[in-house]
Amino acid sequence: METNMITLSIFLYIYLFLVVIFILFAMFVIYHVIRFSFWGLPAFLATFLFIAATVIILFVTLDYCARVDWQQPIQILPSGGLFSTQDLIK
Amino acid sequence: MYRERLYLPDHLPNEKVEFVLRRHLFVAFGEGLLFIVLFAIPVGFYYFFKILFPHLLASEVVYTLLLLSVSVYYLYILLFAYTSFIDYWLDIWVVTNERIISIEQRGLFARKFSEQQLFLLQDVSSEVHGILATLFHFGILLPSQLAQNRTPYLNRCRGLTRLLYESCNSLRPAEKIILERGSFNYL
Repeated sequence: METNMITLSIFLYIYLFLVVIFILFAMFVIYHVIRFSFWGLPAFLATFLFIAATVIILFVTLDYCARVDWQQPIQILPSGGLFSTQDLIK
Repeated sequence: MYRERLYLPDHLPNEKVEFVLRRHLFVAFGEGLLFIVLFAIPVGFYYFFKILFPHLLASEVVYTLLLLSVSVYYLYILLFAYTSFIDYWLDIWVVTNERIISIEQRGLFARKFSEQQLFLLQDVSSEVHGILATLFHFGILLPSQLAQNRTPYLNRCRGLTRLLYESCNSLRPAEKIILERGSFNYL
């Protein structure tokens, strides 16, 4: 693999990291609702919809991710580097 | 009918909740519209790329990166929408037979409690401004304490001692109940 290439899996790790932060914040918000116990039908419905939508988004994404080859390389810079004039000379 | 369980700070013995006020649903609906637009943006971009740059979406790598980005985008928009709803839902004004309690949720990590004893109230007024507020019956409820606006010192403290209930619904019934429950001493 060339030096200016990375594997696709890097983006999966970044994605998973952002999902972990999302889950932490989501748990904190849900804790707020439970702690201050303003449970009513709208709050319950909103919480249910939020959790259901989150599960669907994660399921669809991870289902697709299971079929992707994460080891395939991606070129992040033009061949020869960012400031290369190689392509211009050609 | 559901019945809300309310968290009352320093619950007094024999204290009974008379009613609960929230900002009008119309105010929350305005914020909801913003999130509907934000939810629609990736769909618009998808069709934009599909029509103008179809070869980009054909690449597995690009498609995967776009899917991950859109997934994260939707998760966070969902979180912000839910937080915004909780912000609306946890902002309440509880009128009990003893006092008025204002609980304001300010973002995720800050809450503000203030209370006003009913026996200290001098008067209650309500204000409705604008076409929408008139049509949907929401406005500002202003219970004010004894001697407010009468001395310069108390005028300066007005922000501390006067509770302002913005955009609350059921203005007139709320005003009526507060007037009935409060022991108003006109000096």
